[in-house]
Amino acid sequence: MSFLSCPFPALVCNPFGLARDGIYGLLAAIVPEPLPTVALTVLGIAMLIAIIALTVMSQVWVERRAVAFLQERLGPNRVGPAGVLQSVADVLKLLLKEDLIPFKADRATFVVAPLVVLVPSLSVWSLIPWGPGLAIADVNVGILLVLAIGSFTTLGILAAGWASANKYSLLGGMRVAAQLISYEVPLVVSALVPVLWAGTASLQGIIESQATVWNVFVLPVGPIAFLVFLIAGIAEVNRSPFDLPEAESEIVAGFHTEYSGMRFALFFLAEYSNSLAIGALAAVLFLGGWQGPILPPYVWLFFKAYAVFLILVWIRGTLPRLRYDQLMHFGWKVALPISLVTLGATAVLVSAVQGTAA
Amino acid sequence: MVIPMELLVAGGFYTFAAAAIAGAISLIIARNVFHSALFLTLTLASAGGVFVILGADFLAAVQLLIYVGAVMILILFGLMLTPQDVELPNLSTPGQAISGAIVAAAIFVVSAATLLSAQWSGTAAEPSDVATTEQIGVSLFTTFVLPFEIASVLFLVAMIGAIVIARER
Amino acid sequence: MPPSLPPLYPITLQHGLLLGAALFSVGLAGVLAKRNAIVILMAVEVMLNGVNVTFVAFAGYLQPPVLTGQVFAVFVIAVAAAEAAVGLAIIIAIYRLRQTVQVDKADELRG
Repeated sequence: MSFLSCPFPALVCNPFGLARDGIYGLLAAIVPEPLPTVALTVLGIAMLIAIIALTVMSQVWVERRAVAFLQERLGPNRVGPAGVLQSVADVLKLLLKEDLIPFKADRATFVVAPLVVLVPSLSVWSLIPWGPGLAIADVNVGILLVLAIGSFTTLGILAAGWASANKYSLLGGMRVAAQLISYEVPLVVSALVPVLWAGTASLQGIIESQATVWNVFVLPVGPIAFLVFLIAGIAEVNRSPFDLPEAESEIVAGFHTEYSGMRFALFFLAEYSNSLAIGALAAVLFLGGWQGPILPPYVWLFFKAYAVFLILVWIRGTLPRLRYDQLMHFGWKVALPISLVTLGATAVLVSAVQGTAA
Repeated sequence: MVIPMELLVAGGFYTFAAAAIAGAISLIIARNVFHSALFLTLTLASAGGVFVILGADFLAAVQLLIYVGAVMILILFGLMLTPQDVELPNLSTPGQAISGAIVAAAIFVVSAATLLSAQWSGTAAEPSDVATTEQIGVSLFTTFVLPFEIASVLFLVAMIGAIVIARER
Repeated sequence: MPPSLPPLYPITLQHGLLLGAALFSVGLAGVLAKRNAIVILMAVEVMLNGVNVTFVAFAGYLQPPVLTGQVFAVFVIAVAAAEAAVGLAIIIAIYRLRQTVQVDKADELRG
């Protein structure tokens, strides 16, 4: 694979792998198996969370600057050069703010709900492969598990909306639930197209099946499935133009109206982490995953995921918000039939290619 | 000293099993219906964890995808569409509640005694560790194609039925 | 052979079956003791999950391995989803008629 063709020394191409082997060797000398494996997994998870948190801060800044550019404004430009430290300042502000819990709120649910949203959105990253053999967990039902874990988000948001004891929060929660279950169907169905091509649901297997041609270029089904996946993905992460659950002009801030300080930051972190995860999933399923020339694999995956995120930002700066009935109409009457037809066509193509149709 | 894999598996099983049963019991005890629904989610997700330990990884993913992603959301919607009267007692009359608990306990004791005293021949020492996705798919479309088609018809009937029943006249 | 508890570990078929029986019984207690129709529906889901755990345990420990148990569990999950949809539709219809979802208040045949 492209990892083997990396022209740089191994330190550049796979520093994580080298560090992993080094730490493992060190630990294995001191403590018995399986403790080193457990310790390494914990370390990997901690590192991943740190990377995601930093990336989210960069995403917030990039999004604000990009949208400002599209709208001919300046955007954040005071803290640090070109405002790059604005996100740091925002995070500090959020952490220092008072953490309010409404008097009428259901306290336990109110406190747990942000965690139910955040934890799945971070756990998804443990399944995404960053290079050959470079995933915290490579399971053979990978894509199904990613989508299944993602469905916890809906539950957390619904619980947050209900626990706030606020009409706007409840409405926002209901909107999210209706939107997410409507768009989950086309999302899953269009994600099955690469699974059919690869003949496996393992994310590594799907990436390796794209060694010659990326799935997005497999005519005629690839581009259509990618487009449906992207649109359904935008709806899944509640981004504009599908951001009805938090439409300021209609229902204040939706499900997180009553949230402030740290807990609001958790929702925020989950939302941007999910946006990037949709980008990473799109890269894994349709854009060849970590494969690419010259650069090390993890750089390629990060680059592709970020590129998809930039497309999401571009769409946000371009399109107006949909009306609710338009949203439902598009999900059930346009996206779902298209994805089903694409899946059927893929099945026919695959069996024709394999010559096992009879 | 090397910690055996069996012990880790057992630890995982007991954790998930305890979470599943605790969730189920809390579901019944909880006074608030919304809390009951959240406890049900705990039970369902933990059952998914048990599936993984018993070697059914595909089924675990399906369990999460369908139960947490669809059934739970449906139930929560049902809750919100039927505002609950918190003043009403949640349990039935004490007599019925107690007799219900006794019946359930009796059924548990009988089934536990039966399955513990039975001789299970032809069983493995540990769960089989094979990739199940493809095998399940193949058997769904060969051995079990008739149940599969009947299930599809059932879905259609349920869908139309639900729409007709819940439609506002 | 008199009933005897299996050893704490390794996990065997009996552990899975016991968990299934426990979940089934707890769900049954819920069905019998609660009066809110939605909670009864949830307790039924717990019972179905107990059955599923049993199916999966058998599928995992049978030798030679056959996946019939897992396929059955797939069907159970599918039927449970259909049941939840129809059940909630009925509950919502009852709520429209009676403004309550307490099952002991819906005791007349004529609406």
